[in-house]
Amino acid sequence: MASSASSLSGLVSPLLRAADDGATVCKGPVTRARQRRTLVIYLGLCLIGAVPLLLEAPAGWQAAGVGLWLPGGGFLATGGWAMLLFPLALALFVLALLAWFWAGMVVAPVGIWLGAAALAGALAGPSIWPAGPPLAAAATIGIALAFRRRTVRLRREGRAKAVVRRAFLPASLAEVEARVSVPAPEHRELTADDLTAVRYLLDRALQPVPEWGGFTMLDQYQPAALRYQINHLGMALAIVQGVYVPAFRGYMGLAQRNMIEKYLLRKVWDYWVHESCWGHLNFTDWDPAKRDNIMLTGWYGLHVGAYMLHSGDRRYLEPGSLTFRLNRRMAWAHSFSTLIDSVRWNYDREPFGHYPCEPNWIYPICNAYGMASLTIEDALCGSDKVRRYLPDWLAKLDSEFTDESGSIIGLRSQLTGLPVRFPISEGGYALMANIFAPDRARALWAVARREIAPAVQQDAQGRPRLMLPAGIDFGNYRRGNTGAYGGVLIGAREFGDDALAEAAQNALDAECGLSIEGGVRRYLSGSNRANIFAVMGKIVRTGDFGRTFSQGPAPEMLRGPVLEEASYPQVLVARAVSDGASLDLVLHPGAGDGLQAIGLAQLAPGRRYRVSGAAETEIVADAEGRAPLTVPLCGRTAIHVAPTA
Amino acid sequence: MFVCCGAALYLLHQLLLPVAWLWRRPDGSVIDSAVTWRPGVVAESAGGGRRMISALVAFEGAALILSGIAAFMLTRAPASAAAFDPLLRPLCGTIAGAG
Repeated sequence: MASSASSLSGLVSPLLRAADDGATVCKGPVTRARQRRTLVIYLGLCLIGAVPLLLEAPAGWQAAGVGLWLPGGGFLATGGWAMLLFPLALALFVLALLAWFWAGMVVAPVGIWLGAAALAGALAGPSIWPAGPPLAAAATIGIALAFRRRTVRLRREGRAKAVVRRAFLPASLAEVEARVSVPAPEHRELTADDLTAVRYLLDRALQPVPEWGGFTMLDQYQPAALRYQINHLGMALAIVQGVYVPAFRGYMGLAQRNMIEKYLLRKVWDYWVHESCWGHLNFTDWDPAKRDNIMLTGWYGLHVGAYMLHSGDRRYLEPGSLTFRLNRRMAWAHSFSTLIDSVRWNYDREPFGHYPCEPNWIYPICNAYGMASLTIEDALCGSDKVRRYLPDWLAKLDSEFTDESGSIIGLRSQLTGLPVRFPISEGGYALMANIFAPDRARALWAVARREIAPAVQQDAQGRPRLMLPAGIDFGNYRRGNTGAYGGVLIGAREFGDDALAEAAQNALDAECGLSIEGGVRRYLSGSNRANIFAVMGKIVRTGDFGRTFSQGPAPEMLRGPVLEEASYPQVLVARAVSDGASLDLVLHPGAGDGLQAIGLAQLAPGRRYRVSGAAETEIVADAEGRAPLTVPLCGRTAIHVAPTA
Repeated sequence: MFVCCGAALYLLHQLLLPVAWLWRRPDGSVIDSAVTWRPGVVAESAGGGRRMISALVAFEGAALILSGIAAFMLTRAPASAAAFDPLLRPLCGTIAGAG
């Protein structure tokens, strides 16, 4: 075990590297300090609350004081019918906690707690009910003990899980290493089936920017928000662009720019106005790319950077190219560079080494997007930010955001240091880490795949199928596993786990309402976001995700001839690559066979080119390096354009 | 005082609205209309929402009761209200821009 442990050094949480003494409590120094501060403040409140009782102050003050011990506790001291308000206040407090989590509404729990104490004081008669304070104290201690018991149980279960993980990790990691070392095939081409999936993305991305057809409209705070649908859709298109059609501009570029510009519409990001007010008590400056909000800067930065990296278009580096306009008077002019500046500024100032999405809540998964955005900036601008920020980022992830099982904690309160469970598996982190820390990513996937494996069973036809218990689709908060299967599918493809990928794809096709109609593939029981995952899973092969967001195309690919014009959906592009001089295209008809006009660009001006697969056999580029071409589309149609000798 | 009660109600409304969205479409058999959308076709609502509205009304009812009790007690006992004034005035000023 010792040699296995040393071979894992730096790859996984320290808890999974060496034998645990059974007493480890996973709290880094910052977490410890914040939790200690929270406890001191709470004990201070309890003491202050006890003072009116000890001094035999007027009944109103005594009831209000007891209300500081526990939300609504003051109603017990008030006595009489007001005691009925105790459970109501507690229920409202639970809702306030939910609002705090859901939308960063820091004022909600504080307001309910203090408001209930003040109301209890106002309702008190000439004297308090004598049994009230002891009852409130007992309820407080009871709730504290229940939480303590739960924490101890979770820690014990976590340590047991870590023991199991330590046992299987070396062998599983060796299998992952073997799979990811197989190089991806050089010839990459979307199949006709893949194209039906990609059309799901293009249909949505190619509608006019202000239109929202095909997007799930629920709340704008949590996972179903438009911003996540837009970012995932943009990222999926970037994968198609980078892996399959790097030499295609046309509607592929337009689709990606539409997604970037759709994000700037007020309804996507004005949640930050509300969250700034009720979370930061900031009623004047609602700049969405300044303090916190990594769910915008990190995600959007990655999305915008990926478009620029693979298209060669650098327009979003220009100041003001990404302007968030709230109304006629208020707007915040940003660019890709200022999004990244916000990520860096927040990392520099945050003791946790990770910073919040909503006011106060730090999600490591969103911080993985933040680190990925720095990675893509390095690739795009030749900077060196990952080398500077990643070591401390990983160290803080291990010390401040890892539980007893070695899993990454879903989210932690920045103010109180308290952790909250959030359903993100090792597989989700592995995928993101493959962008900036591939070794760490493989170790995370080595854990994820082993823990998913028992859910792979044989269906009635004897095919492997992933069978997960009924879950929630976080793209619309309804029952469904489309998102979960899609997530596993992307991870399995990314790390070369083809058997698991096949099982996940079979599960999607069998359980999630597969429909292929009008040339578009979709899963009817999933949300828009889950469908985007499914598309990503269908097109990704080993290492595609990590490479797309960390490495740009070869310079000759951006320099050489490109497909500039093609009609959608009449002309579907399955492959478009250039070696700097010639161009290889594979096209499919999207609306029936027949002649289609396409346009080439970035040819050598005035140069003659030999063409195969088109109506023309030879073309001459105009003074701008452009040339039209007529293509008889009939099923898979390969076209080769090369300069004549 | 009434401004404060109104502000409390508004805060609770804002608090509960995102929560209520959780139940907007509770019937798992209803297809998300976003997924069936096609270019040129106006998406139809997937329906549902009754439970969401009920939840919102119930919770806002509770909030209204609390606010009402506060208003009633404070108007019936002006001395108590006066004691809370210095405490509430800055809060009201912050939330509603009025004392």
